[in-house]
Amino acid sequence: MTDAAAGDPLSRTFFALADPTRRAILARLAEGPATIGELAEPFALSLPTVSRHVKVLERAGLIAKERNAQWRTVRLDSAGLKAADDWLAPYRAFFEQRFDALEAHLKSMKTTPKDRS
Amino acid sequence: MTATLSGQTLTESARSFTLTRVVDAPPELVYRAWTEAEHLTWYPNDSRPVPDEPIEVDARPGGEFRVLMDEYEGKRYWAGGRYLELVPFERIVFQWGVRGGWPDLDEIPEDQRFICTVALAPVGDGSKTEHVFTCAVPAALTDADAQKWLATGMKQGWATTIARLAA
Repeated sequence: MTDAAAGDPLSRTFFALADPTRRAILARLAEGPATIGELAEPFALSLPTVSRHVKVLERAGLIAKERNAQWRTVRLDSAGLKAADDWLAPYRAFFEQRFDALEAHLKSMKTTPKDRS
Repeated sequence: MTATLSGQTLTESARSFTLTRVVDAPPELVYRAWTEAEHLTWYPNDSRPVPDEPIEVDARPGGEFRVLMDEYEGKRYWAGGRYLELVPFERIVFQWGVRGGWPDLDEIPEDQRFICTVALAPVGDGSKTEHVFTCAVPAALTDADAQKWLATGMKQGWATTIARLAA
């Protein structure tokens, strides 16, 4: 666990995403930036606990802190999310393409093909 | 992006993917297209000359299918899978890869192999088939390790695949 937290960027991303509270924090941030206090509200968690979660998410490249006039707010950083979500994309694309070929082959396999234009 | 973020969807999609499509053939035909050497010809790249090396299929648990992939000029490798489960006309489960090919099953421990599942179900009067394909990263494989072997020698090949798709 500690290894994953300290590992390469993608490992950190998955480690960060493995925790339900942190996923909930991300879901909240998907609606817009929030302060630590606003993030803590729905979870009945202490501010230091939320801060720890925020730190993990920040290290994973999933969120970024920004300082407004008075308040320190947290917002989503889509780069980290994209990296995690795109991970298997080439393989998905590979098999999609193979299955186009499968469909074409199935047509030729049919012993009694239907009329088609 | 909000949809992707809800619940566990993101994590799950990052460790597996599922492709569902309805194909215009009965389950028996689709099953044969997956498990008979003479019909597995759809697996290699159809825009390249068909390799001379015969497709091999040993359709029983522990058996393998081997297909020489001719990705593009100068890039050829054995691909395929090792069957774990075969239920005629319904279900095929295999470890993705082949010995000495890519992914190389000689290099990847048993519990760290990608698992692919093909689930077939008749649609309507049975003349069509719902073809559900799932490819999952095994729990025992760390993300870093999975990425490492996925990246092995394949980056360029996949880039070509994507370029071809986009063309």
